[in-house]
Amino acid sequence: MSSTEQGTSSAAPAEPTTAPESAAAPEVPESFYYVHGKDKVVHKVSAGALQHSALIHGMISNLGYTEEQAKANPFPFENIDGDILQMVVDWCNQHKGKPTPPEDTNLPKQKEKLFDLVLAVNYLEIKELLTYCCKQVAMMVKGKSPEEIREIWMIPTDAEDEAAEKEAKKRAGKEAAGETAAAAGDAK
Amino acid sequence: MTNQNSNQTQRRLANHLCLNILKAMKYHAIIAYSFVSKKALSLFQSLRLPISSILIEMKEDPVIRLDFGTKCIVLEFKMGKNNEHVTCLNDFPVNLDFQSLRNAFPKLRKISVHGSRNEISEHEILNAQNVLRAFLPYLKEVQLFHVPLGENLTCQHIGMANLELLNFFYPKNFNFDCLFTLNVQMCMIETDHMPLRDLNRFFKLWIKGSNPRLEVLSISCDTETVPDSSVLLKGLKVKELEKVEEEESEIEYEDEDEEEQSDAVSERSESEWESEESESEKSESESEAESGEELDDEEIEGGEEKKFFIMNCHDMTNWKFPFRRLPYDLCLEVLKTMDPVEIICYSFVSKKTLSLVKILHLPISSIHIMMQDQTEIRFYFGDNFIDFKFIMDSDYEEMGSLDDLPVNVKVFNDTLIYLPYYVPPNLELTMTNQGMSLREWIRQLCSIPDKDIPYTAEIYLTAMTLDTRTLRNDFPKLEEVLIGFREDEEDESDNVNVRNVLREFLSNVQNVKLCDINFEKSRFIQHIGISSLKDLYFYDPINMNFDYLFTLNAESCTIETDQIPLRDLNRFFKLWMKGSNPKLKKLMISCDTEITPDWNVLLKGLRAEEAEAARSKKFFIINCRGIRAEIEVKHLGTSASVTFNVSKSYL
Repeated sequence: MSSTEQGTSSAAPAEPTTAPESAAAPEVPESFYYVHGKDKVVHKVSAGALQHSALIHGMISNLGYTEEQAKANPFPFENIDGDILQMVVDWCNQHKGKPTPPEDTNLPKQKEKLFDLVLAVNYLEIKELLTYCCKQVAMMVKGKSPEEIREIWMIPTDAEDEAAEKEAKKRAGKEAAGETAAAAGDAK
Repeated sequence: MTNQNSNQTQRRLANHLCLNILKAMKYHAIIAYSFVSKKALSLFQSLRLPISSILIEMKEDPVIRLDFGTKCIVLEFKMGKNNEHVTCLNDFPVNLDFQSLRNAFPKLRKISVHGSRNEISEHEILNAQNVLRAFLPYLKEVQLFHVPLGENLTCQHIGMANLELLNFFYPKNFNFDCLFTLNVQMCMIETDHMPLRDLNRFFKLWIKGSNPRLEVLSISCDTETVPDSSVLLKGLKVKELEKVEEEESEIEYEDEDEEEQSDAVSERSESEWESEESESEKSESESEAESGEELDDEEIEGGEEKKFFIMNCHDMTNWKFPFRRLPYDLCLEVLKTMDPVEIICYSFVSKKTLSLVKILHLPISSIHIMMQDQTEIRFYFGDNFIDFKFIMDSDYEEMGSLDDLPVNVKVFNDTLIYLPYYVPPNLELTMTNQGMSLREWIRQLCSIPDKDIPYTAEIYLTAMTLDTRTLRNDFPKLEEVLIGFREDEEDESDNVNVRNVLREFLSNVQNVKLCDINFEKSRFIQHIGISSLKDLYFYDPINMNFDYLFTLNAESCTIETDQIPLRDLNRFFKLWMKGSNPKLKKLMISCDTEITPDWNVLLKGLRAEEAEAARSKKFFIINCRGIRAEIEVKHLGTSASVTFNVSKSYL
């Protein structure tokens, strides 16, 4: 639980983002949950914001957490970088309880993080954000020729693909041979 | 009398009736009514007049102009001329009141501030400062004409605002260092000199990432001496634009040249990675720029015009995305968000990308291949189409073949609308030939859609030599073929080639259309007739022998010719009644003629029953198997036709 303790102390900066929303609807007490990424920094997110993630929503409805339990056991997403998780949480907070517009201008601007963001969003099953991210990836090659698409999307040529396949086959053959030799050694 | 008046004032019309009366009035009368009282004003406000915009000109005699679509109402304020002080909002000779300005002009979007051209007075600076301080946070567009800039009113203050457009027209005391802090989207400066060194510094900083919001910067001045472009471009590592693009943009510059005769330097940066810019949004001075930054250096009256590109550190072309490292389903998700034309371009990247595109099952409704002077392949997507136009080497005088390599491929993407012929479809991009011959292009493009999507081909044998050995593989799923023949004499080798080509196609296709076929010279024509086709179409056949009809084995045959052979058709119907042409379901022959044909010749001895019809004559005949058929004869204007329809049912 050390991670949680560390998390609660570092969760403070995340709170201001959620505070105004909770203040906006004081009559209905909103429940909050906690998530952390690879960096163990805990983010406090309202249940409304987490509705966007089918994965987390499913986990909440299956586990039946109270707020205290949720605080003590944040959802761990060890495969997601902290800054990426922060982006996702921010997006979920911004779009809490709102219909998602067809074009989203609130997407994270760090282009170099788009790849990790797509993977994280896909893992967390946030359908709308995934669609936006996919559109962003698609926009990169809008109006580009096949050569430019190859360069921008780093797609190997047919020759490179064939060479990689041969290499993979070789490696697989070697591994298989190694396994059979080991099995034969064990049998002896 | 007074009692009567007081009674009348007490009796009032209901509000909705007042509104109805106001609605019947003209706009200027309604506005006049609004000044009667506070209640009248509130009633006026509830009317919600369709005012599209309001222009307020604060000058010696101020003007307020209300636009109602095509109509407008102008309120001119005649101010007292007795005192020599400046007019103010309180109608007293005092300066503009900063405190009340915002209340006086709520919802202001655009402001133009005019200064005097000659002397600079403290009073003028103070006024300009007050106006801008009051409105700058709310404005989108600011135009400053001869405005004196000073310590308290610098370009930095204005440029840092979150504006869409900032226009300086001969500003006084302008410091070009302020360009570095510009936060506006578009900045236009007309000045008296071209600050080449400052601009050079600006571009260098832009390359490093400054001014990220700026999309257009245009600076122009009147000068007879050619500015030294080497000073402007020093150390920028610019890329000069291709000459072709320069030529295209010349047209756009012509008007500007006539009007301004000025030198201009403009800069356009690529907008944020998520936004796409349309050409129409670009101003005259920055017509060409797809990505990166462009510099124009233009000299008028036989002078030079140069365009250059520079790229900044945020440029997207330097940014890579490892697309293939995405999981398979995510790759498909990304592709699904793309336009069909982009997906098809992606299919040319590698074999694996092609197989990924095939899985997508693009909603292609049909494909049409046209092999005339130029080869085109058109994909239909409902109301939209994508055209691949293959540009071949025009110096090559011999007839084209499928083995030829195109010079490049122009890709058009547009909607199926009826446009005049001179409006070309929208050119999406120009692709290289990808190292593939015409044959390989056809094969690859036709392999993209689902297997069951039919495609049609129009092949003009005057333009293309076809290799019969590979035809089936080149056009594997062909449903319909139109073959265009030479109108002039054909030599024997052509005839053999055509015969072979047709033989190959006849075994695959269901519909055959033949243009300008010469019956005397094409001995293979009988083969076509006896082939088991669904639809056979003849456009303007030459020397057509209508005995050919007796051997017809196609389900439907249409002939567009120069005459209707009434006697031959009469013989044909008689033979049909005796049992010939059992597969035929429809035969239509039409021609252009002003003389009404003698239908009695057509119907002689057929014992046809006449049926009622509105604008044509219909007759029924029955054959020996008891099958009923309808003969419809028509002559409308200059067109005559005979349609023979075989009924599905027996008598």
